[in-house]
Amino acid sequence: MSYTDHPTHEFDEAPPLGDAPPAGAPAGAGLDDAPALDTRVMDLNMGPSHPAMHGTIRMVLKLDGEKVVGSDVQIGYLHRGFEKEAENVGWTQVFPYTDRLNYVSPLLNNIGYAMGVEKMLGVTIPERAQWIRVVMGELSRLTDHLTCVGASAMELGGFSAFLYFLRAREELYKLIETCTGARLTVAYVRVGGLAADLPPGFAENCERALAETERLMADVDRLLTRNRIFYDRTRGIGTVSRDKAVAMGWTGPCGRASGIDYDVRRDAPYYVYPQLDWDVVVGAAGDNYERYLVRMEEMVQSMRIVRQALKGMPAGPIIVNDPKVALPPKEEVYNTIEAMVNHFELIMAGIQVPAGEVYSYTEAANGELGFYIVSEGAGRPWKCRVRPPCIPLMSTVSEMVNGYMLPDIVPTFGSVNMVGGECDR
Amino acid sequence: MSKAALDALVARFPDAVVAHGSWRGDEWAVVRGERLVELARWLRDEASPRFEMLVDLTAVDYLGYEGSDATPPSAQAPQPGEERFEVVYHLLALGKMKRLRLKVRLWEDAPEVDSLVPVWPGANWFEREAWDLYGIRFKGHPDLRRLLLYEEFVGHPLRKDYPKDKQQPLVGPTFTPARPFTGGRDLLTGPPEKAGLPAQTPPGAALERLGERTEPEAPSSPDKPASGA
Repeated sequence: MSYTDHPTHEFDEAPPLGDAPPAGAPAGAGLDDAPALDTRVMDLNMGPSHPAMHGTIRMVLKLDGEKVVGSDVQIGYLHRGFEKEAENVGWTQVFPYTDRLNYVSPLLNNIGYAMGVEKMLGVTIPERAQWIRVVMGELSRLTDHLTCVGASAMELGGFSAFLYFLRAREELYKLIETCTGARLTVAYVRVGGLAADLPPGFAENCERALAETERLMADVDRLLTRNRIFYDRTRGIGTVSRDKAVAMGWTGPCGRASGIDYDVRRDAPYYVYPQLDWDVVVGAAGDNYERYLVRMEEMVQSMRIVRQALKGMPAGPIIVNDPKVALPPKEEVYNTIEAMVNHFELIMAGIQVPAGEVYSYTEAANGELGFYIVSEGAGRPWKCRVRPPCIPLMSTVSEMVNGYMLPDIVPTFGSVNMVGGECDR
Repeated sequence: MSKAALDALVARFPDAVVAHGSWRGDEWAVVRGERLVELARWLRDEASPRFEMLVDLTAVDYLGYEGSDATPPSAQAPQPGEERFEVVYHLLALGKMKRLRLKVRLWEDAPEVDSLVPVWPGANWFEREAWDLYGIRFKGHPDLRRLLLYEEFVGHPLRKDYPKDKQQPLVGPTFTPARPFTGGRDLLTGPPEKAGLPAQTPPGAALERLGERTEPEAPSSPDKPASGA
């Protein structure tokens, strides 16, 4: 048994081409006088180790020449058992695992999980923490979109765009590092607030990074948006209609590029998004080019949000003053017996979350990031389900590439912005 | 948020909704598995608002669940020996932004429920994942195979009785086994037959064979392809 004739790979039967004409048919029927070419449908493995498959996806393709007539998308190469791990650690200890879901925008995962637990606890976080979460979340959205657009362009041969966007991303990662202490594995959010306040000078550094990002975005815009090659490779490729997108459960930039006017930040508003002036970007065509345009415009909107939020941010505490949820300040722990007991309880037993179940959702970089959390009323989750926005997108990829050419898989797959850590968990 | 939608569902299907309620702003209803597809179609096409999107589908294993006294009814564990699993569906009405959670309780010995792929095609991979990680069968699913794990994996790891540190045998891809490595010396010092290669074609023989294409080529290696994993 080999991988290609694995019994579970099922394709729509495509008739082998170029077979001998059926018995009784006149020789050369339907082919004029051209001799019948000996062609056949070919199996091709794309990935899991392939530069355009982002390392972790395997596509088993049926090819007729360069045309894809059947495909089977296989995921799971990065499966780490996120849920099983989360069921075996305390509520706070889940945060590092969430960093590794969508590792290009870890802060958004932090925020999504924290919102779920806070919803179970019935905790409202301090106002300043809300503003900071918005700022850091939007910076993460920027890094995610920069990576997606840059990598897609690189896979189509636009290496300069990739380098420009990685440079912009680097500026933002450095900025995030000044605040969280890490570029990717941030673990910055806590139940009830944040681990640390913004460092001094953050607003100025942020403005500098945003200005640099804007400059590079203008460059990439000139490189790609009206680029004949880029346009021809992406426009009209991988098209998904609105109906199809709704049926498959698409959300986020890909869903909006297909015309689904839905953004959690606006439609189920959380934190301070309603107080800020920004727009939801909605497209219509639903092809790769539209997804590129939506992402580019969303970055502009994210920068608008960050700038306003940094201006309007009030002073105040960054974590709730609730000894059952958040660790008390160190000076109290060392000087008062109550704070020491609270500290001990939180470290040893963890946050006690009331029994029940919630579904909490935020707008992550790829779409609706949902956390369906079930609690037993104990110090660790009974179940911590992630609804990754990638999965509905990835489950559609097979249909998005069928009927197109083999090279079209690359921009289609790139525009879906699969992130292995989130897709496979 | 969607109290009205939940009430309408209960009024329309009083016998199919086992329990319902609301906690922390989430409306939920436990429905009978055999009526699930009917309910789902009604919710998608006729309910007001129409729940066009299946946002999420997952399962929960309630084996050994001990909710405290404060347990809201939504999280009450099924009695031991009765229902062990819950399949959880999260629906979204896009225009109105209303949400609803449907739950189906399943028995331990035969966790099986109708597939919702005919209603929401997006359920396909979610159901495959629930089968993969919880071992819940979805009747009528077009292609129910594992999603994240590999076919040779034994068991369903998110079940509560699956130990977290359990090891599974390493199953690699099944390649044609390679000939034992003998180094290049055989090829250099001995006749090709000794290295398991076909005898060298005498010069001129290739030209004679040009006309007889149909003759099968001699296998380059005596090893047979592997059969079975």
